[in-house]
Amino acid sequence: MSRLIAVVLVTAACSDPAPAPDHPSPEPPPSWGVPLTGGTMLVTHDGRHAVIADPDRDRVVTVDLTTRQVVADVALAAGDEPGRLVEDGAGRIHIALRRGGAVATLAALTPGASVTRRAVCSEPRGIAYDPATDQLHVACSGGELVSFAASGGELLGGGAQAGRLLRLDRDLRDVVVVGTELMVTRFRTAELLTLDAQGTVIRRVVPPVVKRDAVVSGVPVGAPSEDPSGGGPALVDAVPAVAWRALAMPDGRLVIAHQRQVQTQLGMTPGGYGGGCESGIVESAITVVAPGADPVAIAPIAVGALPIDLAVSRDGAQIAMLTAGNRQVVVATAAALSVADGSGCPSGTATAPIDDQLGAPSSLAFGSDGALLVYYPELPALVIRRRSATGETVTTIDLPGQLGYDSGRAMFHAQTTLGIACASCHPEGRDDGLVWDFTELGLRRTQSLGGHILRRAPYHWGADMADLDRLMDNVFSNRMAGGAITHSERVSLGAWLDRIPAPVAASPIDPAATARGQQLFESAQLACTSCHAGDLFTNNQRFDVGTGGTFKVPSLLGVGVRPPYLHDGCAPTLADRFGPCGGGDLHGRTSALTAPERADLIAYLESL
Amino acid sequence: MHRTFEIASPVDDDAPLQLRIDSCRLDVDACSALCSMMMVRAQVGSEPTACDVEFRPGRVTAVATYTVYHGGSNCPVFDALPPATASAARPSHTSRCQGDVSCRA
Repeated sequence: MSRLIAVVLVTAACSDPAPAPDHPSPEPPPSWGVPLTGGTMLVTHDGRHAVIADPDRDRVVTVDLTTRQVVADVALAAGDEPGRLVEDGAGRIHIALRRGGAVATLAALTPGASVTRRAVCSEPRGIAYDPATDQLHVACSGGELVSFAASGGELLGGGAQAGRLLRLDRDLRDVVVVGTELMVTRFRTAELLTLDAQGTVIRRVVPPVVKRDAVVSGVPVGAPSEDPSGGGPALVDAVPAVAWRALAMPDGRLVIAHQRQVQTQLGMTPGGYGGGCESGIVESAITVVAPGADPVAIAPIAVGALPIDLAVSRDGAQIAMLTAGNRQVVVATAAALSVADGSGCPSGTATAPIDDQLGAPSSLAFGSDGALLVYYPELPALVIRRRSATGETVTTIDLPGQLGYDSGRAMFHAQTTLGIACASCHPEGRDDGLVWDFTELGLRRTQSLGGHILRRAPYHWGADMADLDRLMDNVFSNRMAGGAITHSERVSLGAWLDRIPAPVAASPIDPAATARGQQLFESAQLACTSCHAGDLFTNNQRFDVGTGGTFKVPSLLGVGVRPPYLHDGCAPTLADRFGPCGGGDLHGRTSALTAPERADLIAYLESL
Repeated sequence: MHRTFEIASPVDDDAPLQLRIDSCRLDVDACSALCSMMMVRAQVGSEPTACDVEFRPGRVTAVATYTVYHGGSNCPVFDALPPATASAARPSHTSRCQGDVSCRA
């Protein structure tokens, strides 16, 4: 037997000396990467370095822009998810660790330089540096705005260098220093808060609502807008939402890249979610806010889903915008910020879109010489474009790290031919906080995908989608016109989504009230846990609890940070959920609760 | 129809192509993007219907299978489109022949 094998092996070797080729893997690799957030790169004040936070690999990379070499590569703890970053007056770099709950500080941009970290809040998002006070300000999704000395020291309760903790509205995003004031955006509502030096909120504004033609499933509703007979052009509101990125211009104006929800109906037929810059349900938008003035909606400079990052050149002459959905970057002159909004279509003030064919970019910056820097997380790579009188030079710098590949992640962020992506309504894998009007269903509040999505089937309020496969076919391929879904995408999307956690609750203001609320929640009297059971606070069943139909029990993980509530969003706050539209005693026997007991119950819900 | 592309690998100074080669090695479903890129660069104005790829030391062989459309009431003639016409959006069935199978050659 052994002789026979030897003969066969020799024969095979003689007949084909070339090694057998490798073939592509028939199954996709393990899940990789986190949802796109944008705004994870800066160029240092001296213009010498680009510092890039890599949330997919939990590292921070520094590139020397003169030699085009990587000069420092700092590994953070697994799962830290470094996000926004800022440079202080001493050249230190401070990075908000989105899931690490801390701010990491790089003492220098050299190999082996020390890295310190200070716990700040459960989900830090925006970070800014105030040179007048040498303070850092960190905006957190839980609503905390934390300020502390950039030079170090204990953050809270640490004596002389202790910081300031303000509790503002939840879902904070970017924080920007403008003179003595702080401007803070909220992510899903795109609201802008202005705080004075004492930390008092002195102004609240939201980007303007604009008008758009009503188009359902690609068909205009009502008479055309230009109808000379005045026969009632059907216009709908396009309301501000999802403020991906805010930054200050050199002249003190604030620029916000955000989305708009076009409040037309959504069809459930193929392509029913509309599309294009004149009939889409989600727009990419820019709003400009001059100090003390009302926000102004300007004409879009780009068309494409997911406007996750902006950059402004140091002289204020150029602005660049990144739309991750179509993997493009556009550059416009500052004059584009003076063109008022007219329709959802670009005003034509920008350059032709840049597409480097390197996957979805996630961050932008301008160098001190006006060069445009674009970061591509998958390779990962940094592309630098320099324009001169003789033309444009494009340099691609490979950054440390293995190729990041996840077809589910890519699918989630890629826009379909309708110009929308899954992430348009589920930004950062969670929800947009919006209520949508479906032609056949009525009002439906977007549900969050964060928090063990694979254990929460069936899906949608009506539990009409038995599993993720069915949902992908029905919503992505059909309504969003996303085309055929590959085997790899089917395997990968759920696994990738399942890694997105539910929002982490802010630390309780009154732990005793939270404990009392938990007792009420778990009591037989209220019977909340008969449906909101287990570690996900849902039994995945459908019930009619007096809210206008039979709906699936939603998970309560992170419920405190995702108003409005109930299937149609009729309750703007958790307190309102116990009001007229909450279903009464069919929805937990809560009518006999006293006001303090109800407050305790709400405190507990906010802690989930 | 078939078209074979022989690619020296690793590719120097061509990060987009190397990205597609590396992605294809990791996941067979990513190979169509490799063939698409090669066809655009070769100015073949069709999308691949299949893409068979083999990896050998120093080279990659990609065989693209594609259909040529000859036109019809609802079908554009896919000819040698310039690379700039490549859409950044995810391809959709609805952007092609609107389900009219009679237009296939």
